[in-house]
Amino acid sequence: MTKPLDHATAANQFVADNARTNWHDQTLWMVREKRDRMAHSLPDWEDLREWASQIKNHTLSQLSQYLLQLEQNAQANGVQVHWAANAQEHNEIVGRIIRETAAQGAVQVVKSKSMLTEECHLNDYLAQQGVRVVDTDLGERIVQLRQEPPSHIVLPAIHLKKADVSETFARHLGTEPGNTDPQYLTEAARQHLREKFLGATVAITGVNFAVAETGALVVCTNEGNADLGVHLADVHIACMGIEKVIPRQDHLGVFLRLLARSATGQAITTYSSHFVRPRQRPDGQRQPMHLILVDNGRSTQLGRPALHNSLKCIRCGACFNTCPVYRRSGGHSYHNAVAGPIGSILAPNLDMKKNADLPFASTLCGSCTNVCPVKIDIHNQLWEWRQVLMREGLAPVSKTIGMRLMSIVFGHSGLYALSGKLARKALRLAPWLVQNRLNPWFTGREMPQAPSESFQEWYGRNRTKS
Amino acid sequence: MSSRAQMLAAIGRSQPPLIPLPLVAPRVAPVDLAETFTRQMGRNGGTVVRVQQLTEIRTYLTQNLGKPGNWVSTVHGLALGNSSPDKQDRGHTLAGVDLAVCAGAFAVAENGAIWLDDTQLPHRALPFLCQHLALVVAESTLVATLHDAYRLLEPGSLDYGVFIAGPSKTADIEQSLVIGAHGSRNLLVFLCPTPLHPL
Amino acid sequence: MFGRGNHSNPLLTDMRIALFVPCYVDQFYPQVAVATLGLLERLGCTVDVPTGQTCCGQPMANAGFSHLTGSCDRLFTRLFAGYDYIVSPSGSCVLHLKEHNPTCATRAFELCEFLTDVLRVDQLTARFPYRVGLHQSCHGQRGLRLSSMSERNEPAFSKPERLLRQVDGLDLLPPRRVDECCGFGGTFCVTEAAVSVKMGEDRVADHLTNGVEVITGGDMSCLMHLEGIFRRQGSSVQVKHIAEILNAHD
Repeated sequence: MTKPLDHATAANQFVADNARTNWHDQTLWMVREKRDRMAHSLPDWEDLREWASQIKNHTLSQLSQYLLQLEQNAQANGVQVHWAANAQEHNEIVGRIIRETAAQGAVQVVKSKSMLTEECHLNDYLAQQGVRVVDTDLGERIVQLRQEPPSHIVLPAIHLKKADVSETFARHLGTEPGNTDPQYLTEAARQHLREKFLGATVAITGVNFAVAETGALVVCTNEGNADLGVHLADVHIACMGIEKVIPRQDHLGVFLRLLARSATGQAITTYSSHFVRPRQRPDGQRQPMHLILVDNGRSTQLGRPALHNSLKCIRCGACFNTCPVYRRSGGHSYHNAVAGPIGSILAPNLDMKKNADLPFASTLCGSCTNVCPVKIDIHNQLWEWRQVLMREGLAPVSKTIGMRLMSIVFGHSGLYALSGKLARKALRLAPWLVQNRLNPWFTGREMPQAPSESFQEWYGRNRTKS
Repeated sequence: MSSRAQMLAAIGRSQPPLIPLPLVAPRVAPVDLAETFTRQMGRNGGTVVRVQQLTEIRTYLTQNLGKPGNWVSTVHGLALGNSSPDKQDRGHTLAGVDLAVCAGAFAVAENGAIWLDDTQLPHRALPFLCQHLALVVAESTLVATLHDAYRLLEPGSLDYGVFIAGPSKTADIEQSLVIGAHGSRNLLVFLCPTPLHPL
Repeated sequence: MFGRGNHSNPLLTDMRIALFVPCYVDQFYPQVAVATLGLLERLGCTVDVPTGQTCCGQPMANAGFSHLTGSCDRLFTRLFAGYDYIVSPSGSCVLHLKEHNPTCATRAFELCEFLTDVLRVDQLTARFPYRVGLHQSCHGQRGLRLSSMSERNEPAFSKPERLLRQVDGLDLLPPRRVDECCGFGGTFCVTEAAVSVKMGEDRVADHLTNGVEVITGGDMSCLMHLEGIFRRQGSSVQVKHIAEILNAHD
């Protein structure tokens, strides 16, 4: 598999199509504006964020206890609970459950949105085992048919225009070529996926919130695809990251009031499903229901005192929509299941070397921190990751040399004054030194003028010191 | 060591020092619950029809949706088309249902969310598989916010429950909103003064 | 001048104020520091400019090299020891000092902050009869809370705007996206040049729809980046640091 492009290179390519970048940026900005309308119309908004943040802070400080409570209650409800230390174990557990189901006949697997399963590359693993998974969220189905990853955790196909969807559906679903009407295309997907729901034997879902107090698994969708999968299939497999647990049922009041408003600017998703006890089948038995608790680096992140706030994330995507860099570079530039600002503080934990570029794909503007419903200080986390990554020696040599020089120059008044004077002189006498394509500043901007004297030189010349 | 033991040890070692739970004290703002609910349901893409009696529901449905086809009612006292489905039926037998009329246990004004659980549903798939969905909600069961809603749900008393706040929808195709995705194509809410059926 | 008539505030003479000049202002935009000094003096302050200043350390720290800022920080601490107020025409530098240099965290003030919260300026004698667009630099706005943030549900306020409205003849025209980042971002401006420029171009386009003649703000780094784009586009729009406008007289 070819090494993915680093963010800067991928972003450079993305931005080269100016019209498409404007469209992508505008579309996501509108989602940010919808969130704003919600945030500004709810008097409790900032309080809700504070409560959600504190509930998550508390939960992380008692995570092992809450996971034990969740396990106990889920088991009492008739749910089989599995623990997966990493992506491989998670995939193997899912694979085993599916194989055991297959022993009773043909297997058809449907999956509603789960960023965790994307993170674990579950579909690829199962494909290697000869099991095809149908992603049933419309956006995910579209990118699945196109064999590309989602570019946004809530709006997986946000990078695609309706012409792209039309072309994909014409090829795979037999729709009219050239018919780009979203109503028409959605209807085609409805019919196509309805067949899959009715034929499914295994339904895989994610988990938005797992309530320790009751063992309830809460899944939020607008399309109804999680329920259509679970209520018709023979087996339900719910996959969740360990950080998704919340202490009490009443805490759902806080989180569900924040989630959809932050994600899409809706008061609530059409469906907020609470799966507690598996349904009773016609033969009197209960539907086998499994919960897989996945670590995959989360406990490591938890142990980083300056960096564990990212585990509070409820996967709303608001940070993506507000990020001026994400809007102009697209989710694929982040080469990870979870892109955007939150992805940039989660991914380095998984692999520092592969993801060292991500915390630098930011101007640290801080807008993400302001929209985060659980008050993750994302821009501070980005800064902290930069320190970690550079101390790990993951900087290009030229950068390290440059920084060492800078630290010497800025540590010595005389050296600083001299360097500044020489630099300005060079720029005035030989502007062509920097006014060329080798200078990345110059590719899109004129250089600032170099004055003949610095402020300190002017001050020394014009003012007597007091 | 099992993964479970390994994970619990790693998490226990890593978790930060205890931070207390906050006191959650949402503002209580007086609102006209029915009006707020109706407005919100409209925003969600649903339609609210105020009725006084069950017969009005049947009249409305036949006037607006034509002759009863494969219609299912799970509301006591409201017979439509076929009789209520047997609780034991495999969900797939409901795939042909054109219209399902179910009772909501209560509803939330701030966001239009209507609560249904196993006691209202003969099969969990019904409100998702039907083409058209109508829910009967009593005005007397409206609450202001989700906080109020969760106070009505005794923890541990639930097998399955769902808040349904409108018709299924998606904006996944170039952010164009399409009402009617995989679940019901639309949502009709009959708002009656008090419960018309034993809950 | 302070709403107390024309007498200078007696407490002012007790205040030991030092001017910190950001490195790129010192080298490339000395007129901003001249204007800052002039403005503070005009308002009755006695301002020292410690000799041998270099940098606050932010460029290295934001690039992930906070472990190399020791000598720079020590020099700063030594030069600015003993002052009650360290005032600087840069939100990002002051934010960095507040967050990373404990010896001056409580003494460092960005210019608009200082004028509003310490000097409590509510009347300026400046005149600047032009159509002006304000660029809200991120670190000053979100970090130092110089103004309210569009993402939050909070009462609207803006220290820079309040000061600009005291300038005679100034026509302040808000852009559509009032606080989107310009794309400078420190080393980001060269390591992610394409996105950086695109972000800057979008800010420029937003302000141009208002027919502005001047763009202003509290951080010369942002303005330098925007200026580079205006010049590349052949536009006649000027950039002026807010200090230059607040100190503008015919």
